[in-house]
Amino acid sequence: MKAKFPSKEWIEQFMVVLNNSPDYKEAAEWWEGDFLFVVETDEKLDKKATFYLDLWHGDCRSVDYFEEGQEPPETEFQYIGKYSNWLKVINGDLDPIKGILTRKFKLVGDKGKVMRATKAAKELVNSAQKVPTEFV
Amino acid sequence: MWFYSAPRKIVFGEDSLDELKEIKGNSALLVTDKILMDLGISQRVIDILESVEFKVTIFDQVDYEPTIPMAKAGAEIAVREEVDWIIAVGGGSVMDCAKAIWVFYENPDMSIDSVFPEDPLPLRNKARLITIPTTSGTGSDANWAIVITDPETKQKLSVGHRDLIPDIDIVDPSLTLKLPPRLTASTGLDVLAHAIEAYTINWKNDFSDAMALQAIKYVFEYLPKVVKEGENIEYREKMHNAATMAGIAIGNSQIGGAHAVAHSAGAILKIPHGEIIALALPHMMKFCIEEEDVVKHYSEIAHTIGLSFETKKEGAEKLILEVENLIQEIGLKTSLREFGVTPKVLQENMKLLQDFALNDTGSLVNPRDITKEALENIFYDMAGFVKGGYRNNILKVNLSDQSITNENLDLEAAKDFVGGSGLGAYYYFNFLNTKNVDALSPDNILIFMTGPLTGLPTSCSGRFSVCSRSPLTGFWGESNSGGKFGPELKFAGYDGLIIEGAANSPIYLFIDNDKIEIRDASKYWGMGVFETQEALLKDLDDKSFKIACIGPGGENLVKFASIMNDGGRAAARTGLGAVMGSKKLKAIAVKGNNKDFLLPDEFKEKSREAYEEIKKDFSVEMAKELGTAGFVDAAVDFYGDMAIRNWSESSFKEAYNISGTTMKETIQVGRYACYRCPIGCGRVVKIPEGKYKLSKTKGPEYETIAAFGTNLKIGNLEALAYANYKANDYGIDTISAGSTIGVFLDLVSKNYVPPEIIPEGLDPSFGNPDTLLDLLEMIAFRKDIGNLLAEGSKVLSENYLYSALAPQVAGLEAPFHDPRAFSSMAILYITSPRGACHLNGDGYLVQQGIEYPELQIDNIPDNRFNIDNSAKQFARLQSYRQLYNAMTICQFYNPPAPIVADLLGMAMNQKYEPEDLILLGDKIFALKRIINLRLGWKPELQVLPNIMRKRLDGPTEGNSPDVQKQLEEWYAYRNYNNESGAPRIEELKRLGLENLLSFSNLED
Repeated sequence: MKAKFPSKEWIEQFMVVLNNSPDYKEAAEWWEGDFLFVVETDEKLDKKATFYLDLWHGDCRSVDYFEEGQEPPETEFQYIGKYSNWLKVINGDLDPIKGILTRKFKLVGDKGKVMRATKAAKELVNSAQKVPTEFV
Repeated sequence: MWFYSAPRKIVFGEDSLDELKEIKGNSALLVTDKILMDLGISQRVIDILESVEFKVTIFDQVDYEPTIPMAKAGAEIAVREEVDWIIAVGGGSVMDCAKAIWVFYENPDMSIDSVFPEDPLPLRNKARLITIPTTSGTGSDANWAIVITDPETKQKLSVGHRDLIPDIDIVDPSLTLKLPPRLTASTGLDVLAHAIEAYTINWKNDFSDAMALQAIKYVFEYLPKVVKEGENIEYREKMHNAATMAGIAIGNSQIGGAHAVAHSAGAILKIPHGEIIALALPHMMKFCIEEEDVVKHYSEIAHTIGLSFETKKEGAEKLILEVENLIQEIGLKTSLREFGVTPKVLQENMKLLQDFALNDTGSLVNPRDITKEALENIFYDMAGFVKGGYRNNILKVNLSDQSITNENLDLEAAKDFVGGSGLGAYYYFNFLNTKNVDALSPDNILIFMTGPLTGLPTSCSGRFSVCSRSPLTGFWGESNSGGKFGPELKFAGYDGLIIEGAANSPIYLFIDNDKIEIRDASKYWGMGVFETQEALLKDLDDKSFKIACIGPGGENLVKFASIMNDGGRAAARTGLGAVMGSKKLKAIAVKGNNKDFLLPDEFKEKSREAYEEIKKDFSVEMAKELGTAGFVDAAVDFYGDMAIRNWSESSFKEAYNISGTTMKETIQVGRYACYRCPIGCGRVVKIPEGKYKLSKTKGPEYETIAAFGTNLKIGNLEALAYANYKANDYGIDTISAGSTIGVFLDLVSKNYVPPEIIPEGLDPSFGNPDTLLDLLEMIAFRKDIGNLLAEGSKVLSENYLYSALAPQVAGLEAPFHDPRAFSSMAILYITSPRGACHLNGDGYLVQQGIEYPELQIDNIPDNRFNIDNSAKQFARLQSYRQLYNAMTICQFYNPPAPIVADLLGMAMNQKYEPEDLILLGDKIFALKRIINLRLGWKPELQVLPNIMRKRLDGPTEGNSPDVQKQLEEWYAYRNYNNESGAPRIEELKRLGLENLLSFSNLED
């Protein structure tokens, strides 16, 4: 069943897909660090949404979802962008690094660490594309 | 109707002082100065007057700039002594002061600036005036003008009245016999200025013309002689008479713009009149020559002094040249700079300078209207300062005959080709029209060139270019380096340095501002780059020098030898270190003190705006935090951009160990930045112990990590840092070295190299750091197999009949951005003027999303493997980067194009829009293409090497760029002929480069 993006159902399905991805496991086997994926409003989305992911050595240990007005935890990293740009990333039309270089996304956190995880980032996107999604 | 006025009596020649015995009266005020009193000259006059029983009161307070209070003080004395004669003995200042005293004596309540030709001026009720000039001279002895300074406003006032004409003018040459050469020269030049201006001013008439022309004739004939032989009474008499004649000329015509400028600058900058008029005259003449009447008058003067010419314009121009030559011949200064005037002083006083000049009589009657803007340009020209970022100076050093010359920068060419490798190409193109020689021939030239932005107070302005024919490729060679050497050359006063010829033994070039010397460098020959720089700085005993030098690589003519500067900064590509070595030029040590540039106030603001923009740039953030090596992880794992095992494999797990992030976590101890760079992409590393122990030194950047690391499958960061240090110390290009070594190891692995060729003890396999280090040394010293490797990968691979293995285009090894990862690199490599090059277009960054919308580089296909229909955008990127290498600024510094256009415009005194930046780049690109055609480059060389076309698994997903398609689109967009490779005639015309047509075999 399709999950709406962004929603709690979506991120929970994403976690399942990710944890079943051997490519992600291999690419991220050294990774330690939790993430917030922040979906900002634009003409298509009128309320901000935030995903929380606890990523640890190739596994996604937990996820959570925060709507606008709710306070997400502090994390080591944040990847922040408008809804339309998140669509592009998930659909494969924009790679996450290009997203940062073109200022469509903002990366908060140790950039060095993220830059060496580009393969893992690619696998995150691949997994996102496998989640049956209904975009708002 | 007009008037002619002259002294009622002029007594001239030797013994003319005896005329004083004939005057009637009792009391005289002798107006003079202390120097003339001390020299006894004024005493001669006093003695004669006292011999005929005159009571003589001395007023010797006059200094070189008479003021109103000074004259009033003299007038008070005249009142007290009830003088019947005022006798001026001295130069122009004394004359002017005496006339002013006379005015105040006879009219105590009058203000000097109310003296006006048409108003009554009561004079000769109490006294009459005698003038006895002791210089040749202002001519003030023979005319009715007064030039006097108001100390409150600092303005020099020019007033006059016909009744101020002296009653008697005694022109005795014996009074000038002791005049020192310098004063003789400067006062003599003033005579010329009077006469030329009198002859061209609108008030000129037949009488003043006659006086002016005769004066001009005498100045050209006798001034150089009398400067050398001051005791020659005949020369003194002719010049003394010329001064009076010229004084009469201006008294009956007028002074002009040169004097307006001289009065203004003299008063504000405190420069004696004769010296400043020598600066002002030629510049004002060049300004006035735009007027047809002036051309006519100048040509008449030219004819009078015996110059031959065919047209009036030619005659006029020759006259100006003759004036300039005369000024040099008599040893006068030719720029305000020589008086210690700095750009800052000039800028601060400009408004006042303009105002004073505009309000001077000379401006009002000048034959060409003078505006504020015109005055500004004239003052800057007089100063020898060039507005903007140029120094207007090219230093040429010929190492064969040891000659050193300064010539003006070709500013017209600079408008087209800007600077850096653009202007370097222009100078090389001119050279090629006289000689076409091998790169290592002693007749070849080596050019170091800055750009208009080099050294300016803006970010990332530390770069410079080195240009020549490449010994590696045989074609156009250029390399680009950062650090501080380029700005220092600019601060020393030079836009560029051209080295000609070759020395017989090792030398280094010493440049300390305008002191240039060719010095023995035999003690440094054989030293590595770091030892050379350290030893030179120690011997110079001045750490402010910046050094560019070669190492053993350059000395041994390794075809990819680099020129290293400021420690480990490298002008590495295309082997220009070998050109330097072939000239036995070990190093250049430069020091410059002048960091001032004449820039509009907006420049600072615009620079700040640019800086705020680049702070938002993620790639800048990355470069700052992780250096260029920060890209390694993404390049290998995500994009497949880095060559692995001679471009033949697609994964390298150890890439993690040699990335910028690992460097930061392990051996990095700091960062370093080029001149004025807020990014600081340079890494400083230290390895305190172990096999690869290193003191603090420059760390490897992306290209070296690729060349020595992924390309050779070496995953040991310490080893790579050490190899980087060694390569820099040898002075060899790491990209070419790593590529060539990679080819060698690949050839060995494929059994193309006979085992007996492999040096004993060398392990010729990938992955071994010792192999890398051994081969680097062999290359640098051309030992064993190193001798062949030193020729580059193309020669190496051809030697073993496997040229397909060499990752080169037109002989230059490609940098480590793979066209299979970013397909735009294909077209950028194969069309680059110097061979495969990443400074000819950073397509890999554009394809990652960095766009330039104002330059229409903003519609790049999302698919990095296919750039169909995008060649236009990459050609534009190419041109933009050509301009960057000309400006010269760092390619990591990318504020929006409109800001770059503004900054460049202010540095070049032009107004640019973003599209102009592309046009400039197009011009530079076209020139380099024509140079290459002259050097034998052919379109068949536009081929991507086989090794870079082989399809690989992994991040490049089996892609290989469609080079042919890209090339077709590129040629169509550029409007070049794809058979000859040349720009079409129509394109050259669009670029305004039709003059290049006759120098190339272009067929449309």
